[in-house]
Amino acid sequence: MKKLLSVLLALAMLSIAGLSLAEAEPVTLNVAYMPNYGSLWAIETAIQKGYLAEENITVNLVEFADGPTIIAAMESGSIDVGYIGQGAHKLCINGRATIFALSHVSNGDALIGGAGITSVEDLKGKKVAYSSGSSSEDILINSLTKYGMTMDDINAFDMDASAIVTAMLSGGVDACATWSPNSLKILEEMPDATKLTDNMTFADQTVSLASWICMPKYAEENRDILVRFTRALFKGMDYAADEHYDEVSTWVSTQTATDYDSVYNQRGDAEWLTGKEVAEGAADGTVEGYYLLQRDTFVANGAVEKDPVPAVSDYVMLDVMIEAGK
Amino acid sequence: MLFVLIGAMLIASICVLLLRKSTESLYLLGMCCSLMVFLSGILIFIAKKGGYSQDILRFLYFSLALKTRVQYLYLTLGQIGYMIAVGRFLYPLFLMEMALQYSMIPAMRKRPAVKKLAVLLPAGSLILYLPPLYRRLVMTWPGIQPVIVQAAYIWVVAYVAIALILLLNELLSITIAFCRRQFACIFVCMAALSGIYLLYCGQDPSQVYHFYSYDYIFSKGLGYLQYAPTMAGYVTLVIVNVICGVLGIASLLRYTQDNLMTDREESVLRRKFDIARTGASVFVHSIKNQLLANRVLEKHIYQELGRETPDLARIRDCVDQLHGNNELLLERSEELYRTVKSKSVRLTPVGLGEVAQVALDRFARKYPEAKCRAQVDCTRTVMADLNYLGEAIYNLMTNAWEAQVEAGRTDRPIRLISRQERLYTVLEVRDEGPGISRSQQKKIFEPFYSSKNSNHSWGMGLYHARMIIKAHLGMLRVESRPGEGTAFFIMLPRCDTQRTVNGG
Repeated sequence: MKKLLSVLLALAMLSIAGLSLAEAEPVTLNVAYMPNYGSLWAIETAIQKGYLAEENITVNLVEFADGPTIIAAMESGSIDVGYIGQGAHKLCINGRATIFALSHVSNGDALIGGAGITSVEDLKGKKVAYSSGSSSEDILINSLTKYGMTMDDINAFDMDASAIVTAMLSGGVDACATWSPNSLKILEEMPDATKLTDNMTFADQTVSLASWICMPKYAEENRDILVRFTRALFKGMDYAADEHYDEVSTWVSTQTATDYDSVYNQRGDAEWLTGKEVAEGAADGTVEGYYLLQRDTFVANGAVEKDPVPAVSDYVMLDVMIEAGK
Repeated sequence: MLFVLIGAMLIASICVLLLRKSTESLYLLGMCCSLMVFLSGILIFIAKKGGYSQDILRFLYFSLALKTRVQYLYLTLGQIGYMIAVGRFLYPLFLMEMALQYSMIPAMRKRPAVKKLAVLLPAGSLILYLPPLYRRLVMTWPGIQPVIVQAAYIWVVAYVAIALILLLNELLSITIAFCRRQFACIFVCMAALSGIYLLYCGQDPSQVYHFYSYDYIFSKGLGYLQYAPTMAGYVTLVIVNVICGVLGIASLLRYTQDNLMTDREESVLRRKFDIARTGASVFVHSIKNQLLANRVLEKHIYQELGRETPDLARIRDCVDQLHGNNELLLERSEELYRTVKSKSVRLTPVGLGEVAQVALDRFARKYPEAKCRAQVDCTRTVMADLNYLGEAIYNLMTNAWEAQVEAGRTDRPIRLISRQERLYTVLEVRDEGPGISRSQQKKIFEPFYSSKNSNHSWGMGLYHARMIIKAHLGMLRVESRPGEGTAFFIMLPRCDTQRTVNGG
């Protein structure tokens, strides 16, 4: 009897779940990403494993070079949701975009010195390539600050992420601040290059986050879609955070049209969080603490000058993360 | 696709410059170069920043491999931004200079300083947009960025609009059909190029310099991240670009071909005349036959005079024939001499009425019964040799009347009309004769060519007229419709000095 009741209960729950799925309005999202493992590991898994399909969501993936560009595209209306690295978070604090999901804690950014440059102090008066507004600028400023220097002490060259690789490999610049996989490529192809700093260098002071964002207006009007999207992402993160790196690398390399090995080598670029960890962290204040630390570092560096400084809850939708994890 | 299109326009404009070395050709090359630099900057930026699906990227760059090569170009954002700035600010300048060059609006022509003043805004903008200066300015006064962006957008659009209005005004003020056709080619070319430019000119370089450092939302132009980048949208966009580009190139080539044809005609005529010069001696030699015929007549006269009772009627008949032949020979010899001898014209300011009067007098002497209606602006002055120019017009009037006689329309007058057309003072000689076929039109200016089967027509009149007009730094053009009539246009460089002369 008990067994029969259990079966009936399970069937009832399945039918309810089926009904709720049937009721979920089909939606197509334009999703912005960057061509690296960190940007794609969760979304590719969610696509390939059918988690987004379960939520009745279809995605069009659109590639961008960096986070600020993704936010600009969102403002023009061509992108619905997107992935950003550490640097673009300051735009979220300034109210330009709203964070609805934490992706991971990153260690993909690096400050790299070319031949003869083995410490941050050696950068004085040298040509250093970076990408303004991105995590590249962030790690550069953090590194300079740590050693009592400013941007005025170096000869800074503002470039896009791809040009930084060319500039570095051709000897056009003496050092660069960039992120994975560009940082890995430079270190691999320049035997005399030195990694001067990375995100772990500042682990005791700040945290480098990667998040999923959308426009504030979109967040207001489409909370339900964000919850569904996040739920699918979290399932992908649960699947890929601690295992299946090879499988995920295959998917990512296909999407980015890059070789498998270079993608697979990026698996150590971050502390990959499971969806469960993020949802629980959102509920117990851990995630808010990450964003608070990040915000305060930006303020301390002068990267965010908004007065009064907005509360984390103003631009981070912790409730979406909590609901998606249920 | 855009690269190919603009590259084709660039090659076409270089060809135009090589074939026709003029200020206008130089401006045209400047327009194409600046447009190419502008679009190249945007495409490089797009390749580097992304934001497009792989299908669209393949469409824009032909292959992802090429896109990747462009993406990895070692260029700073400042360099790319300034590349866009150079193209964006120089195109309107070249277009404006071109429009001012063509414009015949007196207020513009009397003030050459306008052309110099037009340089101020582009030059100022190029200085202001120098990356280090620009960054320093907007970092010191962040509020100035939207002002600069808006001001730059307003003036570039205003320049293009004003230039196109000036060119359109010029096109509409042209009354001679073939002139209008030729200028229409130029206008279409300018409008097509400007169409491409206007699609992208909202792309402000500041978007590239400081991508997201300031509160500036990029709301204008198709250059980048403006609308949902669907494939259909891009296909439409590129089709519009291709249509504009092809129209521009076609117009440019047609315009150049027109000019080339004219130049080639000149050189062909010159070559033919060189041959004719040799032929003339042969021709003069052949006149001997006529003289021999005269000798026969002379012999007849002597024979009659040798008789006891000469037949006076026969003698008179012979003398009349001799006289007629002699006059004809003299007339031909003189005409040949006038044409062949190297002549120099003395150009002095002459009233248009005086020139017309000379032609009318000669015409009236030759055809006293002919009807002619003259509408000549006697207040106008041209630089001319009164005698030669009068003779050229007289030649055309003679042809016009003879054509009208041939068509049996002697009740209708031929017309001599003057008008001002852009850089030219135009004298039009119009008839309602049988018209000239297109194939004949190519030959009528050749020396010794005549379509008339007459002992009096020697085929030198139109050649002679054309050479005279050429010596006046002018042009002679013909427009004709078989069955309806013919109009010859004598286009003389406009001389703005006006004086009042009664005549015509």
